Amino acid sequence: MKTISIKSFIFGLIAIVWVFPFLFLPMLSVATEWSFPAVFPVEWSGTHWQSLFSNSRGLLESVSVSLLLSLGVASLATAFGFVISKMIASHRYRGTWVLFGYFPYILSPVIYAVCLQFYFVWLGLSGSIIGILLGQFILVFPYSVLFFVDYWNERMQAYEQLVTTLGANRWDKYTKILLPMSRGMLGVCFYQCFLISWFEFGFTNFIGVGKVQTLTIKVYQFVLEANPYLAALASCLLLFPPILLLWRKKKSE
Amino acid sequence: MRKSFIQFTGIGLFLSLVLLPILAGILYAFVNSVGMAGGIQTGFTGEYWLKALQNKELYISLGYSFVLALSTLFLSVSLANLLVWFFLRNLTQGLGAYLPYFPLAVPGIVAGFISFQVLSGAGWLARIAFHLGFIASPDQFPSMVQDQYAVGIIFTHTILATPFFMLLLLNLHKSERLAELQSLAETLGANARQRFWRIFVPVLWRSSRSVVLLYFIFLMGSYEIPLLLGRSSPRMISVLIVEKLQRFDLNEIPIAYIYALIYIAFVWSILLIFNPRKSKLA
Repeated sequence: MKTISIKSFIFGLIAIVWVFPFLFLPMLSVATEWSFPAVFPVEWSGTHWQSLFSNSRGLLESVSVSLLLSLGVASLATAFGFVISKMIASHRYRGTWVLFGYFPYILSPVIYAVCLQFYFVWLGLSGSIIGILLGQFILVFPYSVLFFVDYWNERMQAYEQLVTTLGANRWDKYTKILLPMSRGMLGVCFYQCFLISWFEFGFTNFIGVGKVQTLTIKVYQFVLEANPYLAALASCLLLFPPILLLWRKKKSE
Repeated sequence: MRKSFIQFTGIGLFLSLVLLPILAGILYAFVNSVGMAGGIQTGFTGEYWLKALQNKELYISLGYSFVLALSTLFLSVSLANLLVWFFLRNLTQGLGAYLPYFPLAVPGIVAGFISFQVLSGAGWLARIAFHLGFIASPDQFPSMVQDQYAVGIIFTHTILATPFFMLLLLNLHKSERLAELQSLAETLGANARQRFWRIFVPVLWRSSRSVVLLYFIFLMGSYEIPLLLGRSSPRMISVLIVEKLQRFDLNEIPIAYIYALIYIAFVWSILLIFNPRKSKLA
């Protein structure tokens, strides 16, 4: 009995630590006065959330930029990854190409950005949304390939051979068989690519030179301004898509 | 014939998007480091390399990043093993199965910000310590932000890495059929300690070491958490390189590129020594 209660207590403590950000950040985002030694905010108000909708601190714009970038990067990476991984999966040097796919993740994204900065400046892409879109795509695309490469297993090849034998052309094969069959995997890959782009900070900060203000850049900017309330608000917005994913996962099971 | 052409084009596109940017980036970093490109084109010179290699901050920063990554990895992998061992049922049933996903939903920059709010001298933990009567003012609280031993950085990374390893170990536990293996060992007379050290840990370690190695490299190059929670000296290698590049002194730029090249070489050496292709990665 005693062992069970100690185990439950420890598990409860771990649960609190893991869920803590989802309780602390909303609380901080509605606080207007919360100085030492108060454990909970002294004054509560919706002022900061109002500033989101009035866009007085550019937060609504940041949400739009982040959404645009993440949706664009996730769409491109998923589409390219799906098609190209199929070619890699059936190639005789598959192992080598897969190994190359890990290379961008071996370098830190910010060091990758440091090495590529010259080319972005040269192409006039530094500090532009298109530049960040391209940069994040280069970072996310290998992930999408690695995600799909094992998906093209013998079972999928057998399906392909079957529909080819039955007379389907390449277009029919994709639109009528492969894409409908892979809808679930495409969805998971899209969402994961979306989240990699949504969470990205180092590359965007360095190549975007502060001009492309995604939500992660906003959090950093508010931290530097010593404005924890708005930093918490921007953080809450960043947590929203992954929580939505968790909720959908729970609903689907 | 047509199929192989399409495959060739696809793989060509993959290489141009994955390998070409890396090679181009490394090439530019090298050209800049020998004075052949950038703001101050002095002509070919090894002066910056000499200066960079003689600078202690590079070795301190690399060593600091290595030690922090290793400490975080040791803590998070050990914790993940212990949690899966003791709380397997809680973590695979009901709401408990969703718990490890919560910390994974927190971006690095937000995790750094929360730790800043919680672990600093006037942070949330210090406030609780004040109300419990442990401290009378913020300066009495041992701040874990921008501290000497990088407690804040290690703590934040550990909180984020532990659930990641737990999910990995939970999947491996299932795929390696550890429950059956342990039950067999128990039937043969193995006690809990023997099952943990002779079956649970070795089987999970063998299957997860390539991911652990990649995570170590990810930790070594981490940026946003040490940027918010680290001291100005020593700095983790990513923070040091970016800071050098963002300075107004043009002479510092080739040095920053050299540090980046040395970091890349360092990471490659680690990968070559602990070749992940020996295990399940490739």
